[in-house]
Amino acid sequence: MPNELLGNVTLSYLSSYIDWSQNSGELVNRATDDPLVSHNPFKSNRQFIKLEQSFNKQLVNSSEIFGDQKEFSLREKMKNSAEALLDCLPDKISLRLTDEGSIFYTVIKGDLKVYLQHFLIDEFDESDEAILSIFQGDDNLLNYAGELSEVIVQFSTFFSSKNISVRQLA
Amino acid sequence: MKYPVEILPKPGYRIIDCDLNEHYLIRFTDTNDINEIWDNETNTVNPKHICSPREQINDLSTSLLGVYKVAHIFLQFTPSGEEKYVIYCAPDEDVETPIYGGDFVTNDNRHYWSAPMSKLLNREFKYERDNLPLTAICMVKHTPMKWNFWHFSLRWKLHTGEFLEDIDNEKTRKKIAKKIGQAVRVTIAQFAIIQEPEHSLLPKGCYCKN
Repeated sequence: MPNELLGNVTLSYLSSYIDWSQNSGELVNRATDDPLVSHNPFKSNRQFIKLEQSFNKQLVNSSEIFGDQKEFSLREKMKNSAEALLDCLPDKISLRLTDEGSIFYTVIKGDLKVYLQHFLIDEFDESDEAILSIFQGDDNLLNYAGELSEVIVQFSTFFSSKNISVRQLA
Repeated sequence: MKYPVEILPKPGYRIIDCDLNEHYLIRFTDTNDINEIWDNETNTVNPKHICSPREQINDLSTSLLGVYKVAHIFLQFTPSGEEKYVIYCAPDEDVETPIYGGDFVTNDNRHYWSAPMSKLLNREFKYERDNLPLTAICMVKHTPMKWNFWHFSLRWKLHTGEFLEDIDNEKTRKKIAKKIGQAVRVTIAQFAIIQEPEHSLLPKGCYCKN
């Protein structure tokens, strides 16, 4: 994957990035000894394909939001956040594009609900921004706003603290 | 079609000041396609339909469910009707009844979401980050309009006591607006439903002067 497409994603995140163009179709599960995780690489892969299809479909109808940004670049950005979220091996996950030029993900993992908004457009020409919120029932457990790479670390740390393994950063 | 005069402001009404925790807010969506409004995968409202693109998500228009009923979400004002009626006003203003065709029409291509006040009022979103901590607090304000006495605005106050429009620095304002936009989407996604909830009428003593 060309470096110029990766923006300011951190090295720790880069090191575990899966190059989808070369991916054989199977996700490698690196936390197979954790009994709390129900491992199913086929499920994760199916979820990613579904997310990507949904993203591409919505992108066609949202071209006015993203102006002259290249679709390929937008897809690569989406892969960064989608892949990070799929690392918690969600029970359910969906995404929607917003009129602000962001992807709004909803993730269900057990009794936790995770919302992540990944801004694909930054008018100040900075790193990709993201905002994370995690709920358990009505309780709001965490909100964090920052660069996508920081938010992914927060997400990973949260799940690790709950003894739920996250593949890439565990 | 006659306009539902029961939702208009009128002399004798005042700003609602009762506890609204047992009540619900309702807002229309721009489509009646349930599969588009509701995400069956995660059982949440599609964030795209929380408000329409031309409106500010930071100051979201809603109505108090009760006298304002689900049937009223289909009321759509014409451009000239908007100029006359989609304006804030005093709760006791004597308003001329809108006329069908000239001021308003009905739009069947709508549905709605509804959210309990108890989950919205004073809900805090604390955004953690070492250099930029921020708390946004959900405020629900009764803001009568000429077309609808039961109009409420969902707004977010910052921990500094400021509202978004009070922030002068454009970059800071836009960054905070993103957080508030997300807080709105998350709150509605978390708590809104697209069926009519069981609800009660507000006691007249809450909005009548005497």
